[in-house]
Amino acid sequence: MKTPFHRFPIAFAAGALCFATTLAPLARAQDAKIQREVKLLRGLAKDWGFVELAQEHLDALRKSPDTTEGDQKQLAQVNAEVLYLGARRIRDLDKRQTVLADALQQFKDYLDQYGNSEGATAVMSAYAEACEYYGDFLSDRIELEKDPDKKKALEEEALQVFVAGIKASNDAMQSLEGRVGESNDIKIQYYLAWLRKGTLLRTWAKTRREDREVKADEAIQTLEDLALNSGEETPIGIKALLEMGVALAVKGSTRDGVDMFAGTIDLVKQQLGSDNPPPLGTQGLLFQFLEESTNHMTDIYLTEGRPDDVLTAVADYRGSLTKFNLPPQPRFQDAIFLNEARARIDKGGAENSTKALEIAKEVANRHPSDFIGLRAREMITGVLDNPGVNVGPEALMQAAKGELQASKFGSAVRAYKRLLRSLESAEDKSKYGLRAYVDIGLSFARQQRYLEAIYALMTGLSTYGPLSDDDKSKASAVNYLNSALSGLRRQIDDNDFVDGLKGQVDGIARRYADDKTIANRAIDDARRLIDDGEYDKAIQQLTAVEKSTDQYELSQTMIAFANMMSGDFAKARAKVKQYLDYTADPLNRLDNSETVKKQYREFAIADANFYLGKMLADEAFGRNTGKVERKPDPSKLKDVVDAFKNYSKEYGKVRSSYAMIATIELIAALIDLEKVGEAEAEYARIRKDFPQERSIGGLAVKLFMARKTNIAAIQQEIEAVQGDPTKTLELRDATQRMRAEVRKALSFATNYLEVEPKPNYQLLRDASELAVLVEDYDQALYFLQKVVEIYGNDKNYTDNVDKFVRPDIASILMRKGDYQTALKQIDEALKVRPKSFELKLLRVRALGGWCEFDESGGLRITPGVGRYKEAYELMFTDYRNYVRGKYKEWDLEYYQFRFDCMDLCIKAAQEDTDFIETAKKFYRQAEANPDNFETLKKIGPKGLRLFQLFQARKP
Amino acid sequence: MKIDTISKLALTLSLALPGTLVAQDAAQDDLMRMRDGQTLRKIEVVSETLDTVTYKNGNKEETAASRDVSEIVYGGVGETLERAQYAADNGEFQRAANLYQEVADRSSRDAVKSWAGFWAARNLFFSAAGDVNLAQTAAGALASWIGSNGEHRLLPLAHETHGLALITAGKADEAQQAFAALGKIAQDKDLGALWVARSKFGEGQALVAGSKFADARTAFVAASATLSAQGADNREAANLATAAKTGQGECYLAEGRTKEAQDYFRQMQSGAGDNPMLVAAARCGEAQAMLEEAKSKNDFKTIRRAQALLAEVSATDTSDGDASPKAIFLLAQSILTLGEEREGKDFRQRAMSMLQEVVDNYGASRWAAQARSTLKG
Repeated sequence: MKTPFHRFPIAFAAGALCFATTLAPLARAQDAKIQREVKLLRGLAKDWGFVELAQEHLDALRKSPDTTEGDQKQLAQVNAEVLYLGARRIRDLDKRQTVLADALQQFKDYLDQYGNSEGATAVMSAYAEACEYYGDFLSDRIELEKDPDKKKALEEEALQVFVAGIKASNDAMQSLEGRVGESNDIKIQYYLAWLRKGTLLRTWAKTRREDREVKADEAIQTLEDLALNSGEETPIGIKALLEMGVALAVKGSTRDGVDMFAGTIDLVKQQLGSDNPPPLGTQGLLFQFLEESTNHMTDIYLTEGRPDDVLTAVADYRGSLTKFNLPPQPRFQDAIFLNEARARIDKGGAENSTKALEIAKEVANRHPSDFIGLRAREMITGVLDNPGVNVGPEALMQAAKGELQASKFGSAVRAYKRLLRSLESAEDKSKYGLRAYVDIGLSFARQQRYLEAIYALMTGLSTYGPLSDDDKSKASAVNYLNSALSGLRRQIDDNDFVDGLKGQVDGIARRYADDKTIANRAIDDARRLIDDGEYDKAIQQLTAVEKSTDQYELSQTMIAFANMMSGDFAKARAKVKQYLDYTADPLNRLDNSETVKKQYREFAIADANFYLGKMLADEAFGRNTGKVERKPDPSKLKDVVDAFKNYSKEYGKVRSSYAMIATIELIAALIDLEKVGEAEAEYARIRKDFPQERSIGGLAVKLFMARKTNIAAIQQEIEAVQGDPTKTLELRDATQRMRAEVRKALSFATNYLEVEPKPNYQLLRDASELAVLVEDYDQALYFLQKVVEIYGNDKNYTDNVDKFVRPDIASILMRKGDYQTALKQIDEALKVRPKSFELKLLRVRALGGWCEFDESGGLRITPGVGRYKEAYELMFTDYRNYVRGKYKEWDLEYYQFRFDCMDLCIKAAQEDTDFIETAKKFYRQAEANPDNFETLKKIGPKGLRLFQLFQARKP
Repeated sequence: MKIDTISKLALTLSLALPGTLVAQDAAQDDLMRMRDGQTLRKIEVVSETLDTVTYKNGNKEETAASRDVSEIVYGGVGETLERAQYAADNGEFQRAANLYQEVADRSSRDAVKSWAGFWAARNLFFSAAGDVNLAQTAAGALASWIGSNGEHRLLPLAHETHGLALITAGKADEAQQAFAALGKIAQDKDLGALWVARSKFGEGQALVAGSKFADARTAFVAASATLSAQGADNREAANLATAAKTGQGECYLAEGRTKEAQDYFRQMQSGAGDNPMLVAAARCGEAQAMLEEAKSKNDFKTIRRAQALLAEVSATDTSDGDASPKAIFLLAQSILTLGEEREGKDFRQRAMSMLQEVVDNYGASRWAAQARSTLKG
């Protein structure tokens, strides 16, 4: 079998053939600083595999203004290295291939640009090495590829790599040839380049059938020359001969190849076993040659159908492992073992097949993401797919588990079934039967095939449960069975069918479930029954939970819950009391070691207290539960507050969802108790704890409405005393209180806006109105602009936004004195609604202003944009139609209309004195018709106020 | 290894004519897998007959009993054969047929010609997938191959495939004759009880196709009887015996007599004893009958019951027979019938996934072909 990559190692002791050092002697002239950076980058990529980090650092260096042109050249060189060295560590084979191709391109680009410069030789060598590695990679890939078209494409790519690698090797050799005598390092580099050329040629021959004979011959010649030149007993010489053996085998001269390998193995054994063995580093290298030779030899024996020779060679290798006690190279060792597995399969027989499967599984585990692993897994699949091959149960179990872990569920099920089929002795059935069915069940469940999962688990338990001592597996099976049943219930809409199955499942589970499983199941079932309104059945389930189980206390509070949901609060309260008394009893104290029970107790106590409070809340707010109808009982609101005011603090960590509900109830109770401030504080806290919870948003609206109600009450007080000169103190007091309430409401609204994911439309509008009430026009505008921002494009709201919100914005802008902007807004709105009298009135205001009393009772005359005549025209010719159509002559609104006209005429008289007469006419009409303003004064506080305005503004 | 080795090698190389190294290894690149799992490599198959396979192993000529041979793969044929095998593995049977034919046409070895010719014709049949005209073409190709390879090891399989192709082509009577011919060869050449049983089983299938259900049942019974003397550990025989018994029940289904089919399968189950393969096949058959009946009446409750039975078979059938793929296939059908309302939003995805499992893991079964067809549709 082909070794994964057949490169000469990066470093070994003898001769210090360290790849990194191929660069150092040639780069002595370089700046020390850039050298340090280069070393760092190499370390990051090669030693640590941090390719991206190295790449980032490299990019930063290249962009740095301190980097000279010479440095840039160095960095360009190391860029390719970083990619190449890092690529070798990438586990994903597709990604590795992409990065390798990229690295080769980087090398090529560097050489194209700097090919003749100093340091280029080292790059050529590095490029050749990268080509060798990538060539081997592609060769392995081609061997495993089943699709002939993809194979062809890979072969084409491989050809480019071989050509480039050989050229780079030749260039390196040419560059180094004349300097071989200078130092040992240069000599070694020279030979390495030569060797690389040879191995590239032989990989070429192996990969491409059409070039096989020619390239094999070239490889043989190249390697032979190298061996002769370097000395065949030197490490390079031995390696060259080894590679020559490979080339011979590729060409078809397998006997000569085998001879070469056998010779290498003998030579290595001789050297390692001599009285004067070489240094330790060299020993390691030599042993690697032995492994490579064994691998190649067994490859040949395998393809020639000589399984016995494979087994002999592997046995010999194992002997060498023991004798010399040198660390093996996993990539060669596992390749050898995989050959052994293949040979055993070829020989046939149960023992051989079993052993082969065990070997393949172990190799697959050690190589999760390389070609050796892929081959091992392919071998496992081949064995499992061949029913003619006899394999022992443990090996089948391991293979099946491997399929399951790889999420190959269909194959896993088949493998487990094969295992079950193979079980004969009572011992095997006891050991494997239940486990196999549990995993079959899991395989189905992972594919959401719950029905099949259920049957697998039931069958496993009923058939092998009695035979097995493995209580843990039985309990697991029962747990999985319950989960599968729940899964099925969620998946299909057929409770009758599932309930039918449940009966069967229960029957089997009861025999094998431990108390814990039974308890869990009872609680799950009870929850479901309570959801379905079957409270008695739920209580029946819960009552059966054993006292000794961890879940017992939870079952007790669930009984209270079932009673509560059925509407029987008396029973629920009694149960809660019984339970809390139970926990308070020193006899029922839990030891520190009973951590699970303690945890369940915490849950149960939190639940019990929640149920007590919830029942009070349901009674206070008059909620129906079960079949029980209730009327609201406000006398219990205070109890609700007492029950829930500390719930979140005491139990929030244990039951966060109940804490949220408790706080919602608390807030509702506080609102009803008119403790709005406290309610707002609770709201702020709950919003912080549950920022996305939508139900809490409704609370905010409720809270705001409560504030608004208060404000409305104060406003009524104000209206009652306004205009009465004897009530100025009361007026001032009420106004102050109103402003204070408004400020609180606005503060709440502002906080609300910050924390609410989608603020309520009406709340924002109301907030804006309140802001206008206290003349905080900036804030009023802010709220309305938020409305436009949030709801402007919501098709459910665009109509309202155009009809109401934009005119309101215009109105507020006018109050701020920005009449021009307001006029623009109004004109825009009128384009959409040209017949709107409300907008027309606003336009009048924007054009000509208005007149009113300010807070101190003084007259406030606003000018608008000062287009008084235009304003009057609009008012008198257009708006008047609306007033006349809608109101009677002595209605407040009609008087207001006259006043507005009078005001505009007075303003217009600044430009045209004729308007004064018109103004006087309006005054006289209002006064005289019918009775000197008496009708107006009788309308009420508003009428009185308007009368005072007439008096103050009289022309 | 010393300089001597290199010198010796150099001498060898220098003596070799350019471009021709000493041919130490002949062009022996065939592979033969035996039924007991053993694999013979680097052999050269000389001939395949009904009795023996003759091959060269090195310089020695050896033989193996054809009945012990599981598979022969010819090597040294080139890329076309690789492409043919790849196409077949991927279900591209038409392409595989063309490529195998190309191998047959180009090869100079008679053994390869015959072998590749057979696989071309067989893949042609697979590609038919219910198409009458294509099946007819395949039947013609198989008939032609049979005519030219009267003693070949693959002759019985060719006859059987020919019969199946004729059934698909709607020529039930001719199919019957093809299977009868298979039976005669099996008897005359003493191919063993299994081939005799296969011929009878095929006859049964042809009779079903010709709506001769009573005769079909008789043929299936005969197939079962032929196998009754086979050992329990003969898996192939056990599979066929089960298929024959199941075939009798399926006759009722073909006639639309779902009640009788259900009764039959229940009886089959009670008579199965502790034979797991028979039990699984019987339960699966019963479920199939229930499903057919329920579908015709829109009886969703019964479809559910059938589903339960099929799920049980799928989960617990360890017999390596036809029951598991059949159960999975029918389960998928039941899910599609029940639809989103009853099976949830992912019903189609689950059903398709199950059909794909039949194709991927039970590719040789008749249900894989149906599953493929459903997936395409």
